[in-house]
Amino acid sequence: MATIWDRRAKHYNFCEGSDLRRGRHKQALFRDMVGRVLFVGVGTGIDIRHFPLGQEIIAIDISEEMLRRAEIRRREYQGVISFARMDAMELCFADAHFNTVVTSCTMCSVPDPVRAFREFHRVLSPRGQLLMFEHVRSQNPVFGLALDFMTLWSRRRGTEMNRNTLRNAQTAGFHITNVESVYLDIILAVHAAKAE
Amino acid sequence: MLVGAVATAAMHLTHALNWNFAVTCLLGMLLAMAMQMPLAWLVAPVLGSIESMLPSMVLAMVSPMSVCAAHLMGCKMHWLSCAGLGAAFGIGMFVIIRMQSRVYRRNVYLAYQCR
Repeated sequence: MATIWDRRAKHYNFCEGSDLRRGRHKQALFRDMVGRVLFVGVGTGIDIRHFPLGQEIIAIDISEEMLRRAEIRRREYQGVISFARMDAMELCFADAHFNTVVTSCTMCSVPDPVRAFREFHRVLSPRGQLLMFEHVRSQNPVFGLALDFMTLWSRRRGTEMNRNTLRNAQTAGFHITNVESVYLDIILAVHAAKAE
Repeated sequence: MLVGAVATAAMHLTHALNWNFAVTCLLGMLLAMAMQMPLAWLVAPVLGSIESMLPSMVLAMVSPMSVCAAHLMGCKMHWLSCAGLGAAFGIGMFVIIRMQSRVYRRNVYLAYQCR
Protein backbone atom coordinates (compact mmCIF):
# COMPACT_ATOMS: atom_id res chain seq x y z
CA MET A 1 0.00 0.00 0.00
CA ALA A 2 2.81 2.43 0.91
CA THR A 3 4.47 1.77 -2.46
CA ILE A 4 1.29 2.66 -4.35
CA TRP A 5 1.01 5.98 -2.53
CA ASP A 6 4.71 6.73 -2.91
CA ARG A 7 4.14 6.40 -6.65
CA ARG A 8 0.91 8.44 -6.63
CA ALA A 9 2.47 11.27 -4.63
CA LYS A 10 3.91 12.83 -7.78
CA HIS A 11 0.51 13.45 -9.38
CA TYR A 12 -1.54 13.80 -6.21
CA ASN A 13 -1.74 17.60 -6.17
CA PHE A 14 -2.77 17.66 -9.83
CA CYS A 15 -5.63 15.21 -9.30
CA GLU A 16 -6.84 16.12 -5.81
CA GLY A 17 -5.73 19.69 -5.28
CA SER A 18 -8.96 21.37 -6.41
CA ASP A 19 -10.42 23.79 -3.91
CA LEU A 20 -13.19 25.20 -6.09
CA ARG A 21 -15.91 23.19 -4.37
CA ARG A 22 -14.08 21.43 -1.56
CA GLY A 23 -12.05 24.30 -0.06
CA ARG A 24 -14.74 26.12 1.89
CA HIS A 25 -16.28 22.86 3.12
CA LYS A 26 -12.91 21.66 4.38
CA GLN A 27 -12.32 24.98 6.09
CA ALA A 28 -15.72 24.80 7.81
CA LEU A 29 -15.16 21.20 8.91
CA PHE A 30 -11.61 21.70 10.19
CA ARG A 31 -12.72 24.76 12.16
CA ASP A 32 -14.11 22.28 14.70
CA MET A 33 -10.68 20.80 15.49
CA VAL A 34 -10.15 21.13 19.23
CA GLY A 35 -7.55 19.97 21.76
CA ARG A 36 -5.06 17.34 20.73
CA VAL A 37 -5.62 16.63 17.05
CA LEU A 38 -4.68 13.59 14.98
CA PHE A 39 -4.90 14.08 11.22
CA VAL A 40 -4.94 10.74 9.41
CA GLY A 41 -3.70 10.60 5.82
CA VAL A 42 -2.16 14.02 5.42
CA GLY A 43 -0.91 13.16 1.93
CA THR A 44 1.02 15.97 0.27
CA GLY A 45 -0.43 18.42 2.76
CA ILE A 46 -3.02 19.99 0.46
CA ASP A 47 -5.42 20.28 3.42
CA ILE A 48 -3.00 22.13 5.68
CA ARG A 49 -3.97 25.52 4.26
CA HIS A 50 -7.50 24.91 5.56
CA PHE A 51 -6.43 24.16 9.14
CA PRO A 52 -7.39 26.75 11.76
CA LEU A 53 -4.29 28.63 12.89
CA GLY A 54 -2.47 27.94 16.14
CA GLN A 55 -3.36 24.25 16.49
CA GLU A 56 -1.10 21.46 17.66
CA ILE A 57 -1.60 18.63 15.22
CA ILE A 58 -0.02 15.23 14.73
CA ALA A 59 -0.40 14.29 11.07
CA ILE A 60 0.28 10.77 9.84
CA ASP A 61 0.52 9.09 6.47
CA ILE A 62 1.58 5.67 5.30
CA SER A 63 3.72 7.07 2.48
CA GLU A 64 7.17 8.49 3.16
CA GLU A 65 7.11 10.28 -0.21
CA MET A 66 3.79 12.00 0.60
CA LEU A 67 5.21 13.26 3.90
CA ARG A 68 8.33 14.49 2.16
CA ARG A 69 6.19 16.49 -0.27
CA ALA A 70 4.03 17.84 2.56
CA GLU A 71 7.06 19.22 4.39
CA ILE A 72 6.91 22.69 2.74
CA ARG A 73 3.26 23.15 3.71
CA ARG A 74 4.00 21.95 7.23
CA ARG A 75 6.67 24.65 7.63
CA GLU A 76 4.33 27.35 6.26
CA TYR A 77 1.57 26.53 8.77
CA GLN A 78 1.20 29.01 11.64
CA GLY A 79 0.93 26.45 14.38
CA VAL A 80 2.60 23.15 15.20
CA ILE A 81 2.30 20.10 12.97
CA SER A 82 4.38 16.99 13.59
CA PHE A 83 4.58 14.27 10.96
CA ALA A 84 4.83 10.56 11.53
CA ARG A 85 4.82 7.68 9.08
CA MET A 86 2.15 5.35 10.40
CA ASP A 87 -0.54 2.91 9.32
CA ALA A 88 -4.09 4.08 10.20
CA MET A 89 -4.92 0.50 11.18
CA GLU A 90 -2.09 0.32 13.74
CA LEU A 91 -1.81 3.64 15.53
CA CYS A 92 1.13 3.95 17.93
CA PHE A 93 -0.68 6.20 20.41
CA ALA A 94 -2.04 5.59 23.89
CA ASP A 95 -5.78 5.07 24.47
CA ALA A 96 -7.87 8.28 24.74
CA HIS A 97 -4.90 10.43 23.72
CA PHE A 98 -6.68 12.74 21.25
CA ASN A 99 -9.66 15.07 21.42
CA THR A 100 -10.16 15.18 17.65
CA VAL A 101 -9.36 12.73 14.87
CA VAL A 102 -9.63 14.08 11.34
CA THR A 103 -9.63 12.25 8.01
CA SER A 104 -9.73 13.72 4.53
CA CYS A 105 -10.23 11.39 1.54
CA THR A 106 -8.50 8.69 3.56
CA MET A 107 -11.06 6.00 4.30
CA CYS A 108 -11.37 5.06 0.62
CA SER A 109 -7.76 3.90 0.69
CA VAL A 110 -7.36 2.08 3.99
CA PRO A 111 -7.49 -1.69 3.30
CA ASP A 112 -9.65 -2.44 6.36
CA PRO A 113 -11.65 0.71 7.17
CA VAL A 114 -13.53 -0.73 10.18
CA ARG A 115 -10.23 -1.70 11.80
CA ALA A 116 -8.93 1.83 11.24
CA PHE A 117 -12.12 3.33 12.72
CA ARG A 118 -11.68 1.07 15.77
CA GLU A 119 -8.20 2.50 16.17
CA PHE A 120 -9.59 6.07 15.95
CA HIS A 121 -12.18 5.08 18.55
CA ARG A 122 -9.44 3.76 20.83
CA VAL A 123 -7.18 6.84 20.63
CA LEU A 124 -10.07 9.30 21.07
CA SER A 125 -10.95 10.60 24.53
CA PRO A 126 -14.47 9.74 25.80
CA ARG A 127 -15.96 12.98 24.48
CA GLY A 128 -13.70 13.03 21.44
CA GLN A 129 -14.95 13.80 17.98
CA LEU A 130 -14.23 12.40 14.56
CA LEU A 131 -14.30 14.80 11.60
CA MET A 132 -14.38 13.25 8.15
CA PHE A 133 -14.19 14.76 4.70
CA GLU A 134 -14.82 11.62 2.68
CA HIS A 135 -16.32 10.34 -0.52
CA VAL A 136 -18.73 7.42 -0.35
CA ARG A 137 -20.94 5.35 -2.66
CA SER A 138 -23.96 7.30 -3.88
CA GLN A 139 -27.45 6.04 -3.01
CA ASN A 140 -28.58 7.19 -6.45
CA PRO A 141 -28.66 3.93 -8.47
CA VAL A 142 -27.08 5.44 -11.59
CA PHE A 143 -24.26 7.28 -9.80
CA GLY A 144 -23.82 4.30 -7.45
CA LEU A 145 -23.32 1.98 -10.43
CA ALA A 146 -20.91 4.43 -12.04
CA LEU A 147 -18.88 4.49 -8.80
CA ASP A 148 -18.88 0.67 -8.71
CA PHE A 149 -17.62 0.70 -12.29
CA MET A 150 -14.91 3.26 -11.48
CA THR A 151 -13.80 1.11 -8.53
CA LEU A 152 -12.90 -1.70 -10.95
CA TRP A 153 -9.82 0.25 -12.01
CA SER A 154 -9.33 2.71 -9.14
CA ARG A 155 -8.90 -0.26 -6.75
CA ARG A 156 -5.62 -1.10 -8.48
CA ARG A 157 -4.40 2.36 -7.54
CA GLY A 158 -5.41 1.90 -3.91
CA THR A 159 -8.76 3.72 -3.93
CA GLU A 160 -12.26 2.30 -3.52
CA MET A 161 -14.92 4.68 -4.78
CA ASN A 162 -17.93 2.77 -3.49
CA ARG A 163 -17.47 2.39 0.25
CA ASN A 164 -20.15 2.94 2.86
CA THR A 165 -17.84 4.89 5.15
CA LEU A 166 -20.58 6.13 7.48
CA ARG A 167 -21.74 2.60 8.18
CA ASN A 168 -18.13 1.53 8.74
CA ALA A 169 -17.74 4.31 11.32
CA GLN A 170 -20.96 3.25 13.03
CA THR A 171 -19.81 -0.38 13.08
CA ALA A 172 -16.66 0.72 14.90
CA GLY A 173 -18.71 2.49 17.58
CA PHE A 174 -19.16 6.04 16.30
CA HIS A 175 -22.39 7.98 16.36
CA ILE A 176 -22.92 10.23 13.32
CA THR A 177 -23.91 13.67 14.60
CA ASN A 178 -23.95 15.70 11.39
CA VAL A 179 -23.58 15.14 7.64
CA GLU A 180 -23.22 17.88 5.08
CA SER A 181 -23.23 17.46 1.34
CA VAL A 182 -20.18 18.76 -0.49
CA TYR A 183 -20.95 17.08 -3.81
CA LEU A 184 -24.29 15.27 -4.13
CA ASP A 185 -24.40 12.44 -1.57
CA ILE A 186 -20.91 11.37 -2.64
CA ILE A 187 -18.47 13.80 -1.03
CA LEU A 188 -19.55 14.44 2.54
CA ALA A 189 -18.37 16.48 5.51
CA VAL A 190 -19.18 14.37 8.54
CA HIS A 191 -19.13 14.95 12.29
CA ALA A 192 -19.13 11.85 14.48
CA ALA A 193 -18.70 11.19 18.19
CA LYS A 194 -17.84 8.18 20.29
CA ALA A 195 -21.12 6.42 21.04
CA GLU A 196 -21.96 6.38 24.77
CA MET B 1 -21.30 19.36 -23.34
CA LEU B 2 -17.96 18.53 -24.93
CA VAL B 3 -17.89 15.04 -23.42
CA GLY B 4 -21.46 14.38 -24.58
CA ALA B 5 -20.76 15.66 -28.09
CA VAL B 6 -17.50 13.75 -28.50
CA ALA B 7 -18.84 10.49 -27.01
CA THR B 8 -21.99 10.53 -29.13
CA ALA B 9 -20.11 11.43 -32.31
CA ALA B 10 -17.68 8.58 -31.55
CA MET B 11 -20.58 6.13 -31.34
CA HIS B 12 -21.96 7.49 -34.62
CA LEU B 13 -18.61 6.95 -36.32
CA THR B 14 -18.45 3.30 -35.22
CA HIS B 15 -21.99 2.72 -36.48
CA ALA B 16 -20.85 4.13 -39.83
CA LEU B 17 -18.57 1.07 -40.14
CA ASN B 18 -21.72 -1.05 -40.64
CA TRP B 19 -20.41 -3.95 -38.58
CA ASN B 20 -22.48 -6.23 -36.37
CA PHE B 21 -24.76 -4.07 -34.21
CA ALA B 22 -23.63 -5.45 -30.82
CA VAL B 23 -19.94 -5.23 -31.73
CA THR B 24 -20.43 -1.67 -32.97
CA CYS B 25 -22.19 -0.64 -29.75
CA LEU B 26 -19.44 -2.16 -27.61
CA LEU B 27 -16.68 -0.60 -29.69
CA GLY B 28 -18.45 2.76 -29.70
CA MET B 29 -18.85 2.64 -25.93
CA LEU B 30 -15.16 1.83 -25.45
CA LEU B 31 -14.20 4.67 -27.80
CA ALA B 32 -16.54 7.07 -25.96
CA MET B 33 -14.94 6.07 -22.62
CA ALA B 34 -11.45 6.44 -24.05
CA MET B 35 -12.29 10.00 -25.09
CA GLN B 36 -14.16 10.90 -21.90
CA MET B 37 -11.37 9.94 -19.50
CA PRO B 38 -8.65 12.32 -20.71
CA LEU B 39 -11.23 15.12 -20.98
CA ALA B 40 -12.31 14.50 -17.38
CA TRP B 41 -8.70 14.37 -16.16
CA LEU B 42 -7.99 17.69 -17.89
CA VAL B 43 -10.62 19.50 -15.82
CA ALA B 44 -9.98 17.51 -12.61
CA PRO B 45 -7.46 20.05 -11.21
CA VAL B 46 -10.18 22.72 -11.42
CA LEU B 47 -13.38 20.84 -10.61
CA GLY B 48 -11.99 17.93 -8.57
CA SER B 49 -11.43 14.34 -9.66
CA ILE B 50 -14.79 12.84 -8.62
CA GLU B 51 -16.73 15.95 -9.59
CA SER B 52 -15.39 15.74 -13.15
CA MET B 53 -15.06 11.97 -13.61
CA LEU B 54 -18.44 10.80 -12.33
CA PRO B 55 -20.93 12.89 -14.34
CA SER B 56 -18.80 12.70 -17.48
CA MET B 57 -18.61 8.90 -17.19
CA VAL B 58 -22.37 8.57 -16.79
CA LEU B 59 -22.81 10.94 -19.71
CA ALA B 60 -20.35 9.01 -21.88
CA MET B 61 -22.33 5.83 -21.16
CA VAL B 62 -25.82 7.22 -21.67
CA SER B 63 -25.58 9.69 -24.56
CA PRO B 64 -23.98 7.26 -27.09
CA MET B 65 -26.82 4.83 -26.38
CA SER B 66 -29.18 7.33 -28.01
CA VAL B 67 -27.33 6.77 -31.29
CA CYS B 68 -27.65 2.99 -30.88
CA ALA B 69 -31.38 3.42 -30.17
CA ALA B 70 -31.75 5.63 -33.26
CA HIS B 71 -29.97 3.02 -35.41
CA LEU B 72 -32.21 0.29 -34.02
CA MET B 73 -35.24 2.31 -35.10
CA GLY B 74 -33.69 2.76 -38.53
CA CYS B 75 -33.00 6.45 -38.08
CA LYS B 76 -29.73 7.59 -39.67
CA MET B 77 -28.34 10.83 -38.32
CA HIS B 78 -25.61 13.16 -39.53
CA TRP B 79 -22.58 13.19 -37.26
CA LEU B 80 -23.19 16.86 -36.47
CA SER B 81 -26.72 16.04 -35.30
CA CYS B 82 -25.22 13.31 -33.11
CA ALA B 83 -22.74 15.76 -31.62
CA GLY B 84 -25.58 18.22 -31.00
CA LEU B 85 -27.63 15.50 -29.34
CA GLY B 86 -24.65 14.60 -27.15
CA ALA B 87 -24.19 18.24 -26.18
CA ALA B 88 -27.88 18.38 -25.24
CA PHE B 89 -27.35 15.32 -23.02
CA GLY B 90 -24.43 17.21 -21.47
CA ILE B 91 -26.66 20.15 -20.63
CA GLY B 92 -29.24 17.72 -19.26
CA MET B 93 -26.62 16.12 -17.01
CA PHE B 94 -25.51 19.53 -15.78
CA VAL B 95 -29.11 20.44 -14.88
CA ILE B 96 -29.66 17.09 -13.11
CA ILE B 97 -26.47 17.52 -11.05
CA ARG B 98 -27.50 21.07 -10.08
CA MET B 99 -30.96 19.95 -9.01
CA GLN B 100 -29.68 16.90 -7.12
CA SER B 101 -27.02 19.04 -5.40
CA ARG B 102 -29.69 21.38 -4.15
CA VAL B 103 -31.77 18.49 -2.80
CA TYR B 104 -28.81 16.83 -1.06
CA ARG B 105 -27.55 20.09 0.40
CA ARG B 106 -30.89 20.47 2.14
CA ASN B 107 -31.48 16.97 3.45
CA VAL B 108 -28.43 14.72 3.23
CA TYR B 109 -28.24 14.46 7.04
CA LEU B 110 -31.88 13.39 7.24
CA ALA B 111 -31.28 10.88 4.49
CA TYR B 112 -28.41 9.32 6.46
CA GLN B 113 -30.38 9.38 9.71
CA CYS B 114 -33.16 7.38 8.10
CA ARG B 115 -30.83 4.61 6.97
